[in-house]
Amino acid sequence: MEKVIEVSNLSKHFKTYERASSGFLASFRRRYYTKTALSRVSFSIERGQIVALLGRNGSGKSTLIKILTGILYPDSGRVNVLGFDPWRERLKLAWKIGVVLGAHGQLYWNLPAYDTFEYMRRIYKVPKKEFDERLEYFIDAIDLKNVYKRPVRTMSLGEQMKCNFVASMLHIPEVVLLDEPTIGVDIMSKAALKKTILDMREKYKTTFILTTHIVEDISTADRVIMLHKSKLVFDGTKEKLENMFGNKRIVEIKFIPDAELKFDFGKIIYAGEGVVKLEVDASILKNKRFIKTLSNENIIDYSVSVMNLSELLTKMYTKLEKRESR
Amino acid sequence: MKFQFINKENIDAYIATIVIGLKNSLAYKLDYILALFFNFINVLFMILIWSAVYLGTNVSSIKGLSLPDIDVYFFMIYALRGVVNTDLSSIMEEDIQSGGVATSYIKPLRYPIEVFMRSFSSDLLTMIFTTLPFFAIAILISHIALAFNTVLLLLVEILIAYILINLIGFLLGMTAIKLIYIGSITEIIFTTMLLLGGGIIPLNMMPSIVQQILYISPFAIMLYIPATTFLGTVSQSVIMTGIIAGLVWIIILTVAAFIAWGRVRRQITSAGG
Repeated sequence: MEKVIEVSNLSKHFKTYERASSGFLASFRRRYYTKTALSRVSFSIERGQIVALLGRNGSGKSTLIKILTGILYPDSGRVNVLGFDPWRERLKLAWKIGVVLGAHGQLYWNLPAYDTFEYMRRIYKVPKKEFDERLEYFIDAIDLKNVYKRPVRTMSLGEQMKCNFVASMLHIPEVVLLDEPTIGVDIMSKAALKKTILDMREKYKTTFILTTHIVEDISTADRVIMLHKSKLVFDGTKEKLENMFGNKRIVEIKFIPDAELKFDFGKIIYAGEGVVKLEVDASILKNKRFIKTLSNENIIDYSVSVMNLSELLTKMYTKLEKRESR
Repeated sequence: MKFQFINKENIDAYIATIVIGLKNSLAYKLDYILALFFNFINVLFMILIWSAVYLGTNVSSIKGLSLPDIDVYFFMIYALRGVVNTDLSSIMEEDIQSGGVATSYIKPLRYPIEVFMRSFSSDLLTMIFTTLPFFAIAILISHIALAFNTVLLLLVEILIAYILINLIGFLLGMTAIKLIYIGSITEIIFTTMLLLGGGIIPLNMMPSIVQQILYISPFAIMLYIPATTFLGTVSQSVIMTGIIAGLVWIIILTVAAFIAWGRVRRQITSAGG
C-alpha cells in the first residue's frame, strides 16, 4: 500500500514560562523552561486509512497535527506528507490536504457559511459545477440544509463544526486532518459525519487522521495511535488496544441493600446502595466460589460485560501515569 | 529557495480574500457611520480651535494659510486619516494571540499577503466611509478644481502613505509574539504620526530646521504633504522631498519587515494552542 504520511524520530520542544511565585510582583518574575511536546515519534500511514490519534490533554496530539500540516516546524526528525516536507513545502501541500482545527474555525462570523464555502471554492479553484454537486452532497449527508445560509454567529457550536468540516472537504483533499472535529456535535450528526468519512474513504481513498477525546469517534477508525507525555505509546488496531486488557471483565451485581455480602474478587470500581461493579479477570467467572456468591439469595441480578473503550482508555492512561511516576 | 510574491495561480484567491473580508466588515456598517459622525465632530473641534487662534490674534494668514485654508486643510487631514488608519497590526495581534493564524496557514496562501488582504478589505470600507465624504467636503468648501497632475500626484502620495503605514503595521503586528497587548504602541505611533505628520499643526508653521527634518520623516507624506498638495500651498521641492523620503522609507521598512518576518515566522504559529 502507498504510504501517504511518514514520520520518523520527530521531536518538538517549546520554550515556555511559569510564574516564579505568587504575589503582586510575581508577574515580573518568570521561570523559563523547555517543554517537550513530541519526543522521537515515528509512524507511517497508508492511503485510505482512518487513524484516531489519542492522548490526554497536552500529550502532543495537536502539535503533531500542526507539524503534519506545515503550521509548525519540527525541531528534529523527518516528516513527509504526500511527498512534501510540510514546513518547507506548505503551499504545495495545502492544495492536497484538508484540515479542521476544532478550536479555530475558519468560518466568517458575520456571514452565512455558504460565503466561506464559496471562498474555499475560489481558493482551491474548484469548478462551479463540481462545487455545486459536492456542496449538495455534503449538505444532505450531514444535514445542513436549514443551516448553511444562516449567519455563522447564529449557529450552534455543533453546526459551526459541521460547516467547518464541509469547508475543508470541498476540494476533496487526499489527506484530512481533523483536530477534535466533533466538539458540540449531537449524536445524529456524529453518525452522519462518520458515514461521510467512510464514504469519502470509499469513493476517493481519502486518508483521515482525527484527534479526539470522544470515545464514539474512535469507532470510525481502523487504527489507533496513542501519545502520552510527548511519546508514542501505542500504535495498532482498535482490537489490539481492546486485547491489551482483554482478560478483564466488568461484573455488575445488584443486591438487596443492607444484605451482608462480601465481594473479594478483583477490584471494586463502583459501590452504591444495592449495587457494586467489579473489575475481574475473565478466569474468575469459572471460579466455584465466585459462582456460589452470585447465586446467593440476596443477589437480585448480575451482568458481565467486556470493558468498553472509555474504561479501557482510562485504564491505559492510569497505567501509563503509574509507570511514569515509578 | 526561489522567492515568489504572488503567483498568477492564486491572485484570484487573494482577491476572494478581499471580497469576503468586505462582506464580513459590512456587518459593522453602523460602526463606520458612527466613526464618520465622530470624526466630523473632531474636524469641527479642530476648526474651532484654529478659528480662535486666527480671530484672537487678528491675523488673516499664518505662514501662507488663511482661516478658510485651515478649514479645508483639516477636512483633508481627516480624509487622509481614513487612509492611514489601517487595521493590520490589530488583526495580526488577534491572529497570533488567539492561535487563529493556524487557519490561514492551512490554506495555500502566504500569510503576510493574506493578512494584508483581510486588513485591506476593512481599510477600504474606512476609506469609503471616511476618506471619500471628507474629501468631498474639502472640494465643496474650497471650490478647488483639481488639475489632472494634482490628482495624479495626490494618488502617488496616498499610495506611498498607505504602503508605509501598512509596513509599520506589519512590523508592529509581529511584536504580538512577545507582547500581550500592542494597542498602546499602536496609539503611540498614531499620535506620533499626527504630531509629526501635520495632523494637529501644519508643518510649515514649525521652525524651519524642524520642518526640514520632518519632511524626510515617514509621517509628512502621510498627512501634511497630500493635504497641502490638494490646497496648492506646498512647494514642488517639498513634495519631491516627501515622495523621495517616502520611497526610501518604504525600502528601509520592507527590508526590516523581511528580516523580522524571517525571524518570527517559526514562532508566529506557536501561540494560542
